[in-house]
Amino acid sequence: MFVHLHTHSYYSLLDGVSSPEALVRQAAHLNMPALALTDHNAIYGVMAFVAAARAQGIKPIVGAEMTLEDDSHLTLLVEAAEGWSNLCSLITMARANAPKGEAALPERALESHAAGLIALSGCRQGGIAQAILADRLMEARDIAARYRDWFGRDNFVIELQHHLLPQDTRLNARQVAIAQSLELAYVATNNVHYACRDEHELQDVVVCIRTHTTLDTSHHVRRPNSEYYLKSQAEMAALFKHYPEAIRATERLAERCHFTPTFGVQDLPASATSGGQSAISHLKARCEAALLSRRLDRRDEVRALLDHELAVIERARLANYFLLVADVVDFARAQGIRCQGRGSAANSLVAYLLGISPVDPLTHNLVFERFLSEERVSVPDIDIDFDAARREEVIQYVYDKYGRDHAAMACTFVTYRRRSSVREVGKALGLSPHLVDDALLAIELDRPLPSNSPYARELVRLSEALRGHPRHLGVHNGGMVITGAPLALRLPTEPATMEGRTVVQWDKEALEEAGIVKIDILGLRMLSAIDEAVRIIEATTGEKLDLDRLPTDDPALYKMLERADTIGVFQVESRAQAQTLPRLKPKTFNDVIVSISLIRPGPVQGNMVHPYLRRRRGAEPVIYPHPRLEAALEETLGVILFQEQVLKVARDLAGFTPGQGELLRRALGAKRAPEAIERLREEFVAGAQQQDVLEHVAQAVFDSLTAFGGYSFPKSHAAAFAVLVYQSAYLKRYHPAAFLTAILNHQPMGFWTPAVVANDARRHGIPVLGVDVNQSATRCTVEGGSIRLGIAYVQGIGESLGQRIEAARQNGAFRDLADFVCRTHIPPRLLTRLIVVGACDSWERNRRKLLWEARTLMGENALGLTFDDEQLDLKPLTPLEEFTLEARYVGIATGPHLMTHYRQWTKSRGICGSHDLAQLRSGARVDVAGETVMHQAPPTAKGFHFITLEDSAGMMNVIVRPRVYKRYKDVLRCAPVLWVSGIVERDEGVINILCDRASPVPNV
Amino acid sequence: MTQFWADGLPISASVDQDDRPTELVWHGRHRVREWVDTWVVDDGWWHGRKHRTYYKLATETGLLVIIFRNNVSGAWYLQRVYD
Repeated sequence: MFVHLHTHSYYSLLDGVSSPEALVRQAAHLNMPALALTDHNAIYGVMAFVAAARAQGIKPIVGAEMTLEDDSHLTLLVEAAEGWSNLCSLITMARANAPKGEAALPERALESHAAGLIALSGCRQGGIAQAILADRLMEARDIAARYRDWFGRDNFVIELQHHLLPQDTRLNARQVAIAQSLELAYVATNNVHYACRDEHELQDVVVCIRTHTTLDTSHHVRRPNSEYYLKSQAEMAALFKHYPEAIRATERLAERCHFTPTFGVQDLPASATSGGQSAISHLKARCEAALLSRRLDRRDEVRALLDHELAVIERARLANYFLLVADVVDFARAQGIRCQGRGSAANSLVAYLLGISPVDPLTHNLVFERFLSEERVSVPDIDIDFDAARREEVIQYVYDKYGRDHAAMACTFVTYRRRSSVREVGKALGLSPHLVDDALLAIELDRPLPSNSPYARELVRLSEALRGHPRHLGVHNGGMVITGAPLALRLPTEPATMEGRTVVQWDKEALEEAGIVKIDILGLRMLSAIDEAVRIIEATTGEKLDLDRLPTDDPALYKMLERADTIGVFQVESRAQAQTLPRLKPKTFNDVIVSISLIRPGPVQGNMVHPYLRRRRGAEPVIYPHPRLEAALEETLGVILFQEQVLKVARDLAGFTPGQGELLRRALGAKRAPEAIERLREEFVAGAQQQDVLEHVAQAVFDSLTAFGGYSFPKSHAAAFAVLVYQSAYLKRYHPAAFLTAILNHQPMGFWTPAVVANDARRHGIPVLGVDVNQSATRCTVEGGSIRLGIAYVQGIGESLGQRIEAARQNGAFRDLADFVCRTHIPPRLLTRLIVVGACDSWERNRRKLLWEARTLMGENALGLTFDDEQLDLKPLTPLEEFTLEARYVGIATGPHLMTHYRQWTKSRGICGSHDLAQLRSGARVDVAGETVMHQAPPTAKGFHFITLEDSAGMMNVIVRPRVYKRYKDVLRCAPVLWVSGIVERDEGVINILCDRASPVPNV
Repeated sequence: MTQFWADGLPISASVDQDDRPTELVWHGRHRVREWVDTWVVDDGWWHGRKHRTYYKLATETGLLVIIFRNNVSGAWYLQRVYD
């Protein structure tokens, strides 16, 4: 039997072209008992490979092909657990010793890291082969002898390859001679780079991409033929018929390798506990103390839940993990960095007591098993949101506390998308950029390629084949892996692009598959904004808010949400939320949880939103797809709203175990593998039928689960987010100036542009004052009851110049333009910009005059003309010019609303203002006009477009049917100010205008 | 002077059971004395695939030549004759 021991997947980035799964499938097709994966200096694909191999009943062997400092190659296979640690260490060393994406292993490192590894002498680029090809036979023998000493006679094997290349036969003969003279074994491998022969074309292309060459100019770097595929036993036996031992030896080696990374390879650093306490008793003590301080200690159900959770945590040996996360959170709090947990951790009372989660699970009927149970197949990550502006401090804390040898970020794989694959394949084919652009356009519009375009078929076929392949490594957004033993013994790391960051060679999925928990240290701008708002309030009023202790029962606040007066408020400010809130009429914190869970792709696609709203107001009865589902769906009136309900439905209807339910949820979320979903459908229907559920009912329920997909919140996550909804709504209701100032300071965030936020402030009676070099700070501030825009808001100024201006003003206000220029050394281009946006108006000279003076000051009066400047009669800018310049360079115009400039026109046309819409009955014809502030065509809306128009009094929702959109596309897309005719639609306090005609508003 | 034909000069050849050339015809018959080296090229698929098996061989008549078989058509070509 022959086994392939040298195989590259597409995780040998831009060299191999088959996925680990495809390689395994082909090996199974060829009846191979085992297969090794040996990517270049990486174990990126190992978890996917192992899972695929197990599924096919093939024994997986893991390894890597190392690049040494002299650029020679060496194949390493993991024989035993110690070998895995050594392989990880060697990869880490090689990566750290070279620029990003490359590797250079010092040869001497092999000596001390040989245990548990089997080394094969490598391909033609192996040290021994290189020496033989250069006719340095003694050197070849010396290298072999050296490696034999390091790895041991049984663990260093001469590797023979035959790709039908010149000299292959002679090279192999000489290698066998060396093996025999040193009493070493030899094996045949095929240095596989693709599963099947026809994929060699794509391999040629990725080599061109990697080397920035074209097919026509890359003969020297490409492989000369198509022999690097997974050859069958017979093909390999024929190639090596003079060395049958080379074939037989592969199977013997394969049998010796018995290591694969197993679930839960992780060990966490031991947390510091007092007096040698165990982690679990330390955790218990902390929870007890928190019970007391939160006055929860007298409630029996709380104590019972705590005992239960602690027991499960102890059995899962995760006490340390909780303490570790708590430590990160404690650090953040001590530094005044606002943070809170998100995701399923909020199901845990322990997480609540440790201050990780903001949600008391008992109050919200959250179930701990959703987070962690004995049956759960994966160990859950705890995700924590931090003040985005200060997240890096937290990441650096973790690096510093545990050391760079023990902490690293998870990686991500940036993959080829449609555009990038067409571009790169086009380049490799040698097409000019404009030909590639033409092809791209045609492909995107699903049209045939221009008939005269060269290589059209190759371009389409190969770019499709390349799509989805990894192209380079990225850094996961915040996921950190922390280990007790040095990371290098568990997992290789490599440098990331960002300085001071290292990544492990596994992405989120692989880490999850291996049972390695990570902590997700995420940045959330809303937390930054809330934090700043609280500071502004304290600075301006002296009031110290403790938002974390806010009772959640303020009727005024729920009224505000019902009015959809929510611009700036977390999660519920969007157009879709504004359409929902007046119908939902939230009265309780739980309603907020429901509200943010409703407007998600899952419930929207699954058509859950309208039935829920109708049932809630009693317009239709609450019905369940099957009586058995009443328990699971009762709290959401018979519709599926939360992610957890997928598991409950699967359990109650089809008898799925939590493990199966979890698989189902993941498969629905990934949508990558339709076959997997179909398999689960069969299981689901069969399971349901066993429970006497009719097949068509089971099919229908599964259909709704599929439509629902995974794009929904777990209830616990929605509950954690609802805390921020409530806090931000509170700030908006009672401290709007401070809140909206903070929102303006943390852009981009949320749904609306800064201009809409500013207009919303004005509609709440808060004046928005323009940038003023003598008044503004760098950032926006509250000035009296007004919002003063910050200097950094002016495009191109930025924080550092803003601070310079602020600092220069410490010695007194700027007296005039000359004084300003002299004390700030501002570049001319930015001075001009400050003048035209009105930031220099405090010297009471018109902006045109200031511009003239600026030119003179900057020495731009190049003609040297002498005349009295004061005599110049420069007309001031018109209000519309002022508006336009401020809008362009600040993003916010502080003068009257744009629509006030069209007042004459709107009056003459009988245009209805946003304020008067409420007077109209449903079905009435109406003409409205406004500035387009939002244009959405969500994929779930089936071609409908939603446009939000704004005038000085408020916003108007316009709905455009697909047919109408087609007719007025150009106008709707391009006109900044729109005039729309249509029919008023009113429903439960929501007013929409169903557009049937649109035109641009003419210039005034 | 080495004679060289970039696209190969069509010739006829006989082969053994492993498809290796044993005799070629070019200005007379030449029995193969030794296969010096052999290799396969599969390239140029984007503008006309060249899938060829090359042999560098010595003949009993004293020639040292490179010939190739077009693996798609099976036809034999002479590419190079060494002096």
